[in-house]
Amino acid sequence: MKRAEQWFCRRSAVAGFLLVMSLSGGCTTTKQYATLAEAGSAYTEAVSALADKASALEVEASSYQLLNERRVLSSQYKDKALRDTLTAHLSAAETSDYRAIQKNRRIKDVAMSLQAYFDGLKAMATSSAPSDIGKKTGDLVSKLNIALKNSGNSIPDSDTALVSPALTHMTEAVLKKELTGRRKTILNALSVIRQLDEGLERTSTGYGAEVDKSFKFMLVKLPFTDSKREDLMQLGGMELWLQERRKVMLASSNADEAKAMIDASRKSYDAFNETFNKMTTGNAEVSLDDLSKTVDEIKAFNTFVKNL
Amino acid sequence: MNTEESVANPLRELSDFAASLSDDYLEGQLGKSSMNSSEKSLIRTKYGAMRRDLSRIRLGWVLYEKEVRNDIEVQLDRFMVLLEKGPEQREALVRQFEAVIEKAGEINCFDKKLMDELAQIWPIVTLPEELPAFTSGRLPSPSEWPRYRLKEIFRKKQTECDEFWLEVYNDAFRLEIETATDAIKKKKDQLDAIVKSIDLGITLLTAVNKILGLAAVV
Repeated sequence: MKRAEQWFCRRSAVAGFLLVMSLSGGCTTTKQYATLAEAGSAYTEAVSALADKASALEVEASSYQLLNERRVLSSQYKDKALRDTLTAHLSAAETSDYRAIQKNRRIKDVAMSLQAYFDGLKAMATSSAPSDIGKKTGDLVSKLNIALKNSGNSIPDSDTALVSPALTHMTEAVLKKELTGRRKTILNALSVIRQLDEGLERTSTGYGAEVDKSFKFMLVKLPFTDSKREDLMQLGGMELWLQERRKVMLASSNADEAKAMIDASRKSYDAFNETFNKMTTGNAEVSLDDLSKTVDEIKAFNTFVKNL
Repeated sequence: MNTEESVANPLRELSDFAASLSDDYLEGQLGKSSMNSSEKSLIRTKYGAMRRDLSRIRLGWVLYEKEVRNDIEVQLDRFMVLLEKGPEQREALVRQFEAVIEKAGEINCFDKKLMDELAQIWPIVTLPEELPAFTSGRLPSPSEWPRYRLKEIFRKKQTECDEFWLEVYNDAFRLEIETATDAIKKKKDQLDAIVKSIDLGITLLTAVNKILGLAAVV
């Protein structure tokens, strides 16, 4: 290698080192981007789980409605007229439930489309590529160094250590550009998902309450207050009734679950939204601890919804 | 019960949302897209329709807030109080239920506060048997007390809102988000490709050095 080339090589290495050091100060790391992407993915996954839960509650509530209507209609109609009326009610409920399920599936689809984006972002941020690049390029430079030393020249040893942070920073720059460039789109898309999420919360509240009230009324109160129900005086009937009453008195209600779900959902959305804003506007630094807390909260919500 | 902030929220959100979806924003997104001109034209048409819808909703909300909302809230509040009363308020409760059914039909589905309130009321009225006003006396007839009418109104309004937001997402953001997802995957593939290239470079360099007799590189 000629002297001019060696001089150029050293100047480039020093300039590269200074550039890396200046860019590294206060920058968001790939790990933070990965954590943010994880939080986004967890929230959108939770919305999609909530859509399934809302469908399940709607169908359960409509089943109680059908049973209740059957009870009321039985005192108003007889024989064929009763059969025709009940058939019409069942058919109307099936149509209505089917539409609700389809709509909730579309909401789930919307949440999953945004989840795929966050999953992709996380995959890129946690990709082994940057460290692999650093390691392999480092190997390459070491080998070149040996070759150059053998011919009487060398690259300063510290240059090899610069390769890895430089390439990691390149990935951080790509992630930052991706998130800040799409900030408006992502925030608006999240805002739409939040509106749909609120609808699911409201739906779950209403149907959860109807299921609770109907269960208590139809499976506990009505059998108990109906003096003609002789099965309650027999062992099997008694055991069944005791079991149903135990559920009402001791188990957590659908309405309580819905309320907890709503609180957790709002909290996780707010936490993610705030973190996303901080990270993409550059107004404030977000520590990895803060991010980890956000992800933990959202994951806890996610697990909670899935276990319902 | 009715705070200034809670009333202002839905309008502010809709206004912010509409303002963020400017023509410049759309053209910026389309400029970056690889769609052909007819596809872009279709998106512009749908986008225009969506913005007109948003403007109509914003205007509708202003009128709703000024002229409709307050009365609905008063009727719902009055009903909530009567639901707790005993048989002495039986007739008043039945009359108020009729008024509530009429007013519930006027609730704007973007009105979060009243939609939340409706979601709490309708399950209560599905079981008149459990209401204090009727427990010790005669139950109202199905025509006096259409127990599932409020549920139907709630379901219809909630669906209306959900459909609106689904359309907004699908028209304005789905394409952009899906394009972004593909782009991220490509960027990740590019990083992986760089690693592969370096692997190849090392192999080639080693081979060249062997030929040149620089054994130390190997």
